[in-house]
Amino acid sequence: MAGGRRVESWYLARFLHEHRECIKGCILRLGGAWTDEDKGFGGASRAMQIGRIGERGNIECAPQDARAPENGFDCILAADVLFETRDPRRTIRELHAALAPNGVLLATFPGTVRLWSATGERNGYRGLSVKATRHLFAEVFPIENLEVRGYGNVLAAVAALHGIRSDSLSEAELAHRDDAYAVSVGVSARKPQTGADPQADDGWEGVNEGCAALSV
Amino acid sequence: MRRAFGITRLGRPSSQPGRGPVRWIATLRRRWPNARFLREVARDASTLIRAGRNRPIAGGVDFGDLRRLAPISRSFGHNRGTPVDRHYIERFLAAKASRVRGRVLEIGGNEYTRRFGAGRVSQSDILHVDDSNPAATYVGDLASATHIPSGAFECVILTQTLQLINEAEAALATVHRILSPGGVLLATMPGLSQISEIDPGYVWRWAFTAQAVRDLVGEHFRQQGALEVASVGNLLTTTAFLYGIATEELTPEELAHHDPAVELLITVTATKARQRDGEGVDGGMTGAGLESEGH
Repeated sequence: MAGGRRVESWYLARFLHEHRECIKGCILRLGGAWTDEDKGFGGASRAMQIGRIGERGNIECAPQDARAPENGFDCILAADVLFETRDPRRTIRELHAALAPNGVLLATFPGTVRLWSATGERNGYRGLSVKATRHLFAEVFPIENLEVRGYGNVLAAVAALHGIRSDSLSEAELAHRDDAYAVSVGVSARKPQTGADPQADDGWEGVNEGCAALSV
Repeated sequence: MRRAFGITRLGRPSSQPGRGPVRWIATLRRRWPNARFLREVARDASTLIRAGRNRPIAGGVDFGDLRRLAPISRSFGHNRGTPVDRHYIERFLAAKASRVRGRVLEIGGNEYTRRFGAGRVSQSDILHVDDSNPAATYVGDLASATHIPSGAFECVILTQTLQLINEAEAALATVHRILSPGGVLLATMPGLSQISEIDPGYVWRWAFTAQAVRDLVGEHFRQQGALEVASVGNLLTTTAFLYGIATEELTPEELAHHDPAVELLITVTATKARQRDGEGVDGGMTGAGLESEGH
């Protein structure tokens, strides 16, 4: 067996490491791209719930886990789930609605050179450029609360395509960032403490019947 | 369940024991990942084994000229020859040339209308996003181009454009509206691609999978047999394209090989239904004017 890990997983771990101070409080975790090491992040949090993005772009929690906090989540981790749905804009709005004031959404998805279909794993939809990501999230989150970063470069992208694992590249080679060749895009978006909610009518309770029905 | 990736994905399942020396080297490399001599041993072992298996072992990949962080060409290989995606775009349009006829709309210019529709085209129109192009017969954003008449075009050529449009769904609705019954959309979209930095005026937004395109375009071209979506390319040509290595540097056999798992480019042939369904044939000339609709 090869050492190292998939190049995309390396970037996911790096993204989480860079934002580790945000992973706290009441956490909702979406998506299946997590590795055992990644589970260590947020270990000190009060609650970790597992959810997924539904067919219509809505958020679904497993019923047995569903104890949605009244104010929303302090942190939502969404690894490679946004573009499984037809309507990523709706998903972003719902994630925003599910956050507590000052809560942080940490999301990753494929860049333009690493689409899911190439892994044969699932039918992904679109890879997104770093610039377009900023535009898309700025429709819902204030631009000053947004941090968007592309991970990867031509060498890492080609290695990922060929199924070459991270230990065949040096750390410097993996860490070099060239937005024209983003393998993964990472977004950190903080919901404002107060003030106008751009999607006030799209409230958390209305969004997720599964969680809301079971919340206390 | 976690899936095995990397070298094992190509054949040998991960649970199957490997050959002894290969496993020993891998174990040692895990223990001392920075030891240069172990990397060299792995590479040498890889060279020996490669002859039999045609596949380097983990940690022993020789990247050669491709071990570089900047691409060989940032302009898709334009400065070296024909970009690989252009080769596939032109091969696709050449195969569909008989459908480039009547009144034809192309985006940004009419090079392909003239080249592939020679003798069959009665009128050539050009849509440009802003008024910088004097050859343009329509100015505007395809996503909101209400001034382009409905049911007017027998063919719309849309190459490498949809990735620049924020409202890709609305753009496809426009295309369907302006096609005449039986008219055809010939489109290509980037699958795996570097982001163009050539023109800072545009935001490159998306890359597509064939499945995404099938759903996106199928929304408007619903009837049986109306939609043909395919991918082209393989791992080698995609690697070349990403680095900016040109078409002329690959062999015809290498270019012709198709690997459905590696979608360099997506091609679309979408035919509008012949019977009138009402929404597609009226209400075109709404007098919206020739407003420029940049995003």
